[in-house]
Amino acid sequence: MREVISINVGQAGCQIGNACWELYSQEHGIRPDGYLQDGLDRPKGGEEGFSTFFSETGSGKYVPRALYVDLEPNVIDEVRTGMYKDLFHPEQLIAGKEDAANNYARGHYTVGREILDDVLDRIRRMSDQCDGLQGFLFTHSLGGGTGSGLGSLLLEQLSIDYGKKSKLEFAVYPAPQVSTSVVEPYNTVLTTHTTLEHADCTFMVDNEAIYDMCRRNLDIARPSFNSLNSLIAQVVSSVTASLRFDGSLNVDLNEFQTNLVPYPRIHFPLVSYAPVFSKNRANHEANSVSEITGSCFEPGNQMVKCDPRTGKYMATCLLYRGDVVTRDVQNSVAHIKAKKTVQLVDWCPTGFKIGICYQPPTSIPGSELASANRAVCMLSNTTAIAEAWRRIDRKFDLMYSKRAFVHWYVGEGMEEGEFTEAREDLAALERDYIEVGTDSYPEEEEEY
Amino acid sequence: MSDINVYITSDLTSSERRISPQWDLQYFKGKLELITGIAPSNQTIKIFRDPMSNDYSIISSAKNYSEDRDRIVHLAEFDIRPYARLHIEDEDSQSQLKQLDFDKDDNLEHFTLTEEEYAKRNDTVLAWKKRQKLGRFDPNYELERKKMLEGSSQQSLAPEVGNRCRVINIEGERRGTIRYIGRIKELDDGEDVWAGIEFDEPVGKNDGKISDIRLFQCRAKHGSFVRSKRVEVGDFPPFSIEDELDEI
Repeated sequence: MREVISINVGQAGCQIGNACWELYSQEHGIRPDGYLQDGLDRPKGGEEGFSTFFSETGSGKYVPRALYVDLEPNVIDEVRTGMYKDLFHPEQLIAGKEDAANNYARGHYTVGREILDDVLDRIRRMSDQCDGLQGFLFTHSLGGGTGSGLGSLLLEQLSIDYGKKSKLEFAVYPAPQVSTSVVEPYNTVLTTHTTLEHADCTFMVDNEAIYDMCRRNLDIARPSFNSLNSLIAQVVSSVTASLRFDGSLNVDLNEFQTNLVPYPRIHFPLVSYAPVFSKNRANHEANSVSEITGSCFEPGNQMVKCDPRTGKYMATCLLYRGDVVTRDVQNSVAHIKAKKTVQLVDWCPTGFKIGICYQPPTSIPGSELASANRAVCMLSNTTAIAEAWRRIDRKFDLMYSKRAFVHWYVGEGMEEGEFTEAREDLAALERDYIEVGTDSYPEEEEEY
Repeated sequence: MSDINVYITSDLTSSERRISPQWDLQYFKGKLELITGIAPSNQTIKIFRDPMSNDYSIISSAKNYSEDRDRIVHLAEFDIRPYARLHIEDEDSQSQLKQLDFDKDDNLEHFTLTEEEYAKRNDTVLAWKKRQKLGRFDPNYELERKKMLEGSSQQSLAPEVGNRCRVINIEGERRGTIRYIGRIKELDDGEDVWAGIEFDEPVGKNDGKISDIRLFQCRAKHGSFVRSKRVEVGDFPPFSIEDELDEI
């Protein structure tokens, strides 16, 4: 078996975790109490796939291979008392008493350190139950205190304890326009620096992009976290579907890295998803393989705001699910390759990897997202995502040039040198992306 | 009483947060400081109860700030409903926050590594390319480049200014007249020879200008620059209406 342990850290991480496990349970026919839905004699998706994400107790109950960690009790308490309270074992839910106050240093050094041993101990116990652990799937935010500080601390520790096991992240990246807290740029730069050598592949999700998608495509006037998270869950589900369902073209956790990451530091693929439209519009929207594939190249379907037309592609994974035939996919890919706006890096091998999972997407009751018989999630490693780093670096520079709020971090025992070191690393990352984009051969068809 | 989800906004921040009615104002303001960066003594808290309206009432004003009083006032007193918006105003005119408006600061220098600093680091894409002999570090790179530039020209006639011509790509055939032939430093450092074409129809990219440098003049969207070897010179009159009807 090839088990995957999900680790949700901090408020955003735990709430996205909730949305994901609700969706996974529905997709596999598991009730909120962990037992099979009526009329099923085994979980949907095939034994092999299903057991990567769920374990089975002797009594016919299924338990997510998941851990929730937060430094303050509120969000975890909600899991403990919520609709899915019986799905999880109390040991899987770890909450501290004192929050990280939006401060990386508290999550990473002071408050976070205190529960580190406890968390590592629970992870150890979960991994002991696995026959052949593939790796870990993290969800956390880059801007919050717990998500950034404790999240990166855990990633570091897992590198030490579990060596080469894959570590993938879904990370909430700060929105371009407004920050959730005034020190968000610090937290983001610090955590990115710390995790750069520990995470194998990071899928970023920017709340503003999701927010706009909810308003524009789902007709939600004022999207709440719940609306945002249930849309994010669909995306996460699409990425993990090929791991969870037995199917013709399956992907392993480490294959994401193999296919998408040519060089370890360049591990932030841009994620796009289609179709996204509301139940009201569902009847008016076409949804062929070529249409949903084409939609992935529209900025409105991207999880991070940036302009891929200005960048070069290193690799692309198209993960289809539902009613999809290979021939349609091949045609769509041929069409994409002919597009002028898709420029490939041509000094290293680039590729299109296709995944097909025949299980269609499931819509959660009460969700605005219309159900669709097929969907696609595109993961593309494009240099355009460097825009996101430039943006956050700029915010960092503006604050750090005035040393604004640096004392909050120093007060938690952090040294100022860590700020400079982190920022230099991010500057190197910006240059890395430029370096990826240079040395292309002249394009025959260029026109100005 | 259970916790309430609200929106907390300030000039620089916006977020959804969970608050507890049991909190006293002093504790709450302490939390707000860590979110907004505004010190408790400078906070004026406005509540917008109706998301569709600009009406607000003031929960607490910095003008009569008292830590002692804040300690005995609890949030439960303010009838804060789920998804109300609490806006925090900074009453400190000297506030550092006023200098942190990301949109306004144009003088800010973006911190970058110099080429030397970047080259010194071991764990970079540049170092990797050097180690693996990729891109320009590939001994065959320059040769390949030259080959591609000299390329597979199918032309029987060298294009000259004034010639009729056509350009064919995946989207179809376009016809026009050559208006410029030469190297263009702004495009590729003068590496290749480019042809400026005035198309018969508005199927081009510009009006004969490349980054503010005028190389010829034509109507907007009628001009384009393509590699000269891709231009085919010959007797290619403008498409007639009959040609277009044929296509339909």
